[in-house]
Amino acid sequence: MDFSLTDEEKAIRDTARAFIRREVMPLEQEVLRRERAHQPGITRDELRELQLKAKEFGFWGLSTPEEHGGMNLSAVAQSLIWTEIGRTFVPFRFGGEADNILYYANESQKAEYLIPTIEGERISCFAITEPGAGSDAANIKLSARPDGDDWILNGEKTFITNGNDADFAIVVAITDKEKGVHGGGSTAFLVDRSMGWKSEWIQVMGEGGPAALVFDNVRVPGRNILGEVGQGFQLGMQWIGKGRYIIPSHAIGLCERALQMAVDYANTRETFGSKIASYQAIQWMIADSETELEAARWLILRAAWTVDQGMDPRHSSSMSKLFGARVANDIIDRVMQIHGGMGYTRELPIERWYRYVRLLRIFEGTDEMQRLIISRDLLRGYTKIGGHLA
Amino acid sequence: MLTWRVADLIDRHEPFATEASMAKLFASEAAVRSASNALQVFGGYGYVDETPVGKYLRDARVTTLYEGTSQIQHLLIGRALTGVNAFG
Repeated sequence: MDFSLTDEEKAIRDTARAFIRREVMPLEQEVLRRERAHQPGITRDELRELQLKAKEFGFWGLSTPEEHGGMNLSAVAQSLIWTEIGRTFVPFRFGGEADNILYYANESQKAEYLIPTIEGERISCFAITEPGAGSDAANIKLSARPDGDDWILNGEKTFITNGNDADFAIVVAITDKEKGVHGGGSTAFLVDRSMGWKSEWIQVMGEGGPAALVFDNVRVPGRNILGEVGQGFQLGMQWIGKGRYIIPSHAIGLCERALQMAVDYANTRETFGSKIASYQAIQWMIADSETELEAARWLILRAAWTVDQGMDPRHSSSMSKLFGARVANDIIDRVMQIHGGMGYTRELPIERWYRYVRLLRIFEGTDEMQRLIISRDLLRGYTKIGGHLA
Repeated sequence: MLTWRVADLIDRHEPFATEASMAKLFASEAAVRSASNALQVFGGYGYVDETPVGKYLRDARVTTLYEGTSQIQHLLIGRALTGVNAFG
């Protein structure tokens, strides 16, 4: 069994690491300062500038096909790069990416939505969650009723990431109540903000925040249907499934950084005349964190590898998201404990990570939904205990 | 109950330091656990500022740090029970 990276994976990982260290990490103190003043950590223009600088180093469109100027990286390579991004708390990501389901766009939609999103000229958001339909996404109510060649959208979406900045939304709406979501009764629409939807900022525990979107008789031309009529929920599930191994990949990056901070602090801080690293209470926290981090790392890389093998990644992705989110919460909690009162201050990023990682157990499928997926697949015999080795 | 026991000891003018450590350790850890579980029950709504659940978690978290961290409470209780001082 070979647990090493290929030369190519190692080279790309090291380049990403160097870029993050040289170009992004120097902004960290300023990000903390701004966030303490309740301002965004970095502006949209600053993010764009960084992304274009990264493009010079070849980082553009990690998952984007080469025909659209992207890198078309393997899932394993993407996972490794997201871990590098996670090492900094600057809200940075590489540019040149678009939502996976935008590739279902027809040629004219591609020119209007997909290409400008990849280029960073337009910003998208994906809207399925509603006030009464989160984990049970099949319960959505936002309706689209035909009117000539157009559709009239009415309803609400909530917790929409990028919903404040987006100039268009990919909206999953009910087009046939009788058929229901699972029977082909929902459809995805590309809806420009200029067509009339409004967004409202939702203040959350972490930095930044999603939006609530309101659709009040928003008229959308029939040519703006993404994919086929009735395919909405199916596309929605594809969108949600894509990020499952990316989220914990990012989380282990911040855990690596935070744990190193804890190790350094334990070797420096003295109480009762000794370094706190000499106490078993501290040693055990460090040992447990390193062990769990390593277990999460391989679970996540296995999920990414499953994607690259062309196998159904749902089971392994769910396990990596469930375990990765829990481990991240436990590790950041211990890192804060090792830092004591210092960890609770806004001078250090630890309390910021603490607030952020709590989200990981909720969004993109709560812990409980991941457990549901994992157990259901096993109970109905879709997957085997032991996975591909079974 | 641990907290009430400490209060009762104080009222009786009896030594209460170890019992206070136990109460502080247990109650502060329970507060973090309870707040986090409550947040999970609320789902995304627990994470927004509209509900106070996220704030309860942030407020609870510091109680395991100040006035003697949980680890220090363990050491104090351990010393009282065994007579062996593992620190200082």
